[in-house]
Amino acid sequence: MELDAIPQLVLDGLLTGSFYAMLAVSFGLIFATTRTFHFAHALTLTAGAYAAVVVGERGLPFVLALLAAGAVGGAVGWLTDAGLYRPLRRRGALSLNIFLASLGLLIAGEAVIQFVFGPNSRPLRGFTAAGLQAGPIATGTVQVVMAGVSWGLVILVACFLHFTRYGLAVRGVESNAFLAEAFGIDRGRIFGLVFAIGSVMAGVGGALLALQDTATPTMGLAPILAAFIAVFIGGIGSVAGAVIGGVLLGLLEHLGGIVLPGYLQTIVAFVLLFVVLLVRPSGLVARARG
Amino acid sequence: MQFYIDIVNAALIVAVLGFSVNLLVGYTGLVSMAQGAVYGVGSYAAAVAATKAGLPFPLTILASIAAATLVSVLMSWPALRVKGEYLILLTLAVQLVLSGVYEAWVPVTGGTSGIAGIPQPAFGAEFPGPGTLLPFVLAVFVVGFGVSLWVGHSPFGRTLRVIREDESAAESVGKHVTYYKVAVFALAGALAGLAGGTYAHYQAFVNPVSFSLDQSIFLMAVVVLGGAGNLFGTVIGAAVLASFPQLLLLANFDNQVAAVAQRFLYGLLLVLFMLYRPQGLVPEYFRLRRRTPGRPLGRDLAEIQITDLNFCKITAKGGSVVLRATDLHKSFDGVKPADGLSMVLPAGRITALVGPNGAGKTTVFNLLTGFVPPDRGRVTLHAEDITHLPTWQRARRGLVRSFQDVRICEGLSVLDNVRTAIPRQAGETVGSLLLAPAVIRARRAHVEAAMSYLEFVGLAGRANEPAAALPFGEHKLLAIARLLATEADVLLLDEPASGVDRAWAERVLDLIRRLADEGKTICLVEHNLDVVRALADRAYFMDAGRIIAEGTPEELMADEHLAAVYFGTRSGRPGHAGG
Amino acid sequence: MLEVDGLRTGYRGRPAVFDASLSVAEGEIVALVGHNGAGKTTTLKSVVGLLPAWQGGVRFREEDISRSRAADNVRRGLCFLPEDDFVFTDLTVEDNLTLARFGVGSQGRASRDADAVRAEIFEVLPVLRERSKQRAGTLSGGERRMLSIGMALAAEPRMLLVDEPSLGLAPVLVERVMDLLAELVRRKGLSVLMVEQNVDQALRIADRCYVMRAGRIVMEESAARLAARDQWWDLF
Repeated sequence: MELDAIPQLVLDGLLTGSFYAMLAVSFGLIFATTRTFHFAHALTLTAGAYAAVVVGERGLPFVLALLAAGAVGGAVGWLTDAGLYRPLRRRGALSLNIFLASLGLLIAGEAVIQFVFGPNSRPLRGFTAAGLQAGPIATGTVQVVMAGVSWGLVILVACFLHFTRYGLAVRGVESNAFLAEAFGIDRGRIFGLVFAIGSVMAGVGGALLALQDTATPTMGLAPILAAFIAVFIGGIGSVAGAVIGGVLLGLLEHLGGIVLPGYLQTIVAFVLLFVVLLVRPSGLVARARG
Repeated sequence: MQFYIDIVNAALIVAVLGFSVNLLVGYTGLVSMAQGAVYGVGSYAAAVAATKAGLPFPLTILASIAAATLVSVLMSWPALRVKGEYLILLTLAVQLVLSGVYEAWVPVTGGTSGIAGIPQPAFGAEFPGPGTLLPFVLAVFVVGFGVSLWVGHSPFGRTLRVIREDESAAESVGKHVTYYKVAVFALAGALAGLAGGTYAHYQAFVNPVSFSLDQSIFLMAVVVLGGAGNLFGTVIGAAVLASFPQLLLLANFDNQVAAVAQRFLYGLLLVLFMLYRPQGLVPEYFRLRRRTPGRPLGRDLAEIQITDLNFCKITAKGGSVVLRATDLHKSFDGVKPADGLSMVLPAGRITALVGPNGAGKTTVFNLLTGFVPPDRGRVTLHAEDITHLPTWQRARRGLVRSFQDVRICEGLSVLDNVRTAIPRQAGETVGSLLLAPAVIRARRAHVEAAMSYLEFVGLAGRANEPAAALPFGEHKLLAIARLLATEADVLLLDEPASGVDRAWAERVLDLIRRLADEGKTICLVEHNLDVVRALADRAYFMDAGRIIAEGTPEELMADEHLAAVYFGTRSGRPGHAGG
Repeated sequence: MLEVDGLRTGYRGRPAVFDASLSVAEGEIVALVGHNGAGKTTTLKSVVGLLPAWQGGVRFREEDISRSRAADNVRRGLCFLPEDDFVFTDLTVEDNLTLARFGVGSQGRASRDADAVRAEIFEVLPVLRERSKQRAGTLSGGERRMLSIGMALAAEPRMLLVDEPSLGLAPVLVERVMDLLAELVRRKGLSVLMVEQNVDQALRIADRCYVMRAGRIVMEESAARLAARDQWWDLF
């Protein structure tokens, strides 16, 4: 056991965890409000990544790539809700059927991206990465930017939810959709709104991921699964829960290596989920439902 | 030629896997995103048994089946505790953990490079190939299809469908839901194991790619597109989806493009089917007669003929106490829906529970039938203490309930709704399914019994229609037929006449009266006091979790104190109120 | 104010209301009583637009609203207080009151200053001021009911549809709630359609009463005449 490595691993874990936290908040917002198991969130992320890559390849600044990723992500997410989930809900589809449709969209969408952009990975250009060193611990500007942007988005969403009229409406629908409707809140519009917001975050997340690694057609599933897990671990319907779940997951992924052989690291998250679902199904930060 | 046979073989194996998924998802409504991984367990078991343990060929298949069944049963343990999205996520976790194991447990699975050199059964041929292996694969398919068909269309399979539609309905007619879920996980595991072992020997090579999440998703698509709950649909789904990329190869597409095109196709098909044909290509009951459209609700009331009840086997003497509840207590965070509640139900009598909204009447039913365990108190049925028995065991001892919202299984035919409730059917359990002749012999008797119940309530003419096609009034009648089929002698009826128009309500009341005349012990919760007056011999008046009075409905309604409780009259008499 | 004519509606293809016709005049309190499951709640939901009407018409202030959605009806001035889950338990009292005003201030309806409305709510229901930062889920049953009435005030409706406001409340609180409703009508000129099991209390403040049974309205009577009967059992 290399205990000297712990500070480094904690830092890496926190940085990765910040990114997971952002994705978890984005999925958690959609899931808690609309109860849609939005598997195609992974497609939104991939679409955002490729949008950023395309902008980056034009030689445009990195900030523009991020903005493009957010815009494309938001549009994809909103369209998914309007074009797929809304008609399904109107037909009274079972939640299983909605999940399967979402799965189908993800698979078909990934195939389309592969047709258009090819199966190979595409890097995001326009950002010069550099290493950062502080005493014994090191990281890179890319990781810092990822974490910074992630926290920025999380704080923005938290502020939106707590300090704006529509944010309050979102929380109202989440708390009691029927009553919200009785007080004149159009549920469909709120659903569209949270899909748009969550998807902007996922799109930006895609760009960040493309910056760290590269963009590939199937890049979306792994980080979105991490987000699912973070949400269910943390507790549905709570920004704090999603953030805690995300950070915990990030830390676990890096610190798990101290006690576990490398090949088991990939499944740590799923084992954690397994345990939480069995022992405390409402999540770590469970809210009492009135 | 070999190329085409290879496609056929691949499709046959996918079909067997599809049956496994269909039993879980289509029949029982348990979503599993891990069947690809369970399939992998079977494949690796055969591969390891053949290459490392040196087991001869047919035994390796048995090893596959055993290993996959075991893993599937283990998975059922957590899966029984969660529902909906949680179950999806949990099985996803199982899938990904197993995928991780396949890639990482190199000494056993060979890691990403997999296990090669699995002996192919030669069946006399010098060089085994798709052609020589076709009979073997075909045999596996026939076995898989036969088993699935036999299971799916047995009393066991029908019970699975009831569980899919409404677990509480299954419990309430005496089915042990947990047993069925574990059993179906075991069966699904066995089928996936069979397919896995076959695949290992057919390919002579296994690696993790074949058992990934993609495989699980693909299998889900096969079942859903073919038609969940229908095995023929699964065969069609497997044939179409498994052969499609190969046919693209024929059209000179390259491998990569064909794979992508296949994914695009089934992804798109999933979306389109969910939107426009969620029941799949071959719907579950594609042969069922649909009722003629546009028939007005309740018009055929006059057509309904009530026949004689000739099936009651009541032993209790009229008036003797059949069910006794003593001092029942229950509290849910501060609220006490039962607070020292005692009551008796005499045989052959109709007892009503009345009281204001929120007095705890439905809770009484939940406590008596075991849906909710009491904090304190005792329930006896025929002098036997049943306080700690689960719902399904109480139902088997003759205590059943109906639901305010009927909980008819709309996805089943009218006949099957009734048939599944018949107790102790041959073929109801996995063990008894093995005795095929007995199951077949019993089938006719069960259909006849079910028909007699349907005749009694006047629905015999609708026996083969999907229950969903019936108007709500007929659902109420069907619910009574289902209760009768349990052969229980104590019937707790929760608002049997609510939500239906007057003419229908009359019919329901008439039936209930006749059941009591035949010796059934009946307790009903009904808010329409007209119904209580018309039916009940005796009534308990409930308020705030207690029984505060008992007597004939007339006596209770003459009591000014009770009127005050019911209508909130402070002074005990209307007219004196007011500010 | 409100006219319902031959309403037929229900859930998922199952009718719960077969034929309901009723009307509420301006400034009038009308009680709708009857046994549980008679279709009273279903009628209210359908009037507000939370449940589509299958047949029949609903007119509010001379306007046909039988096809319009709840969100639009709220803007027209209808306010529905459900039987249970009538507050947002995850939100604070203050947020509940703010959210209740979501539909206010459009479709040309004169709306008052939010602060003035809030001050008035706190004046009528001082308990809400004390609890304003508390999560509604932590309130007692009576306090939740007060909050619900506060939310109705915040929404500045023209007409209030209340479902079982007495449910689960101690007798003293039931009287208080009824008095509050009566006071609101006097102060604001509201109309009220109220479903209530506590017939005695309902008739105390109501002007008129409809009796429902098994999905139909079987009687219409002035509240005074109904209150004067020697028993009510036959209505249920």
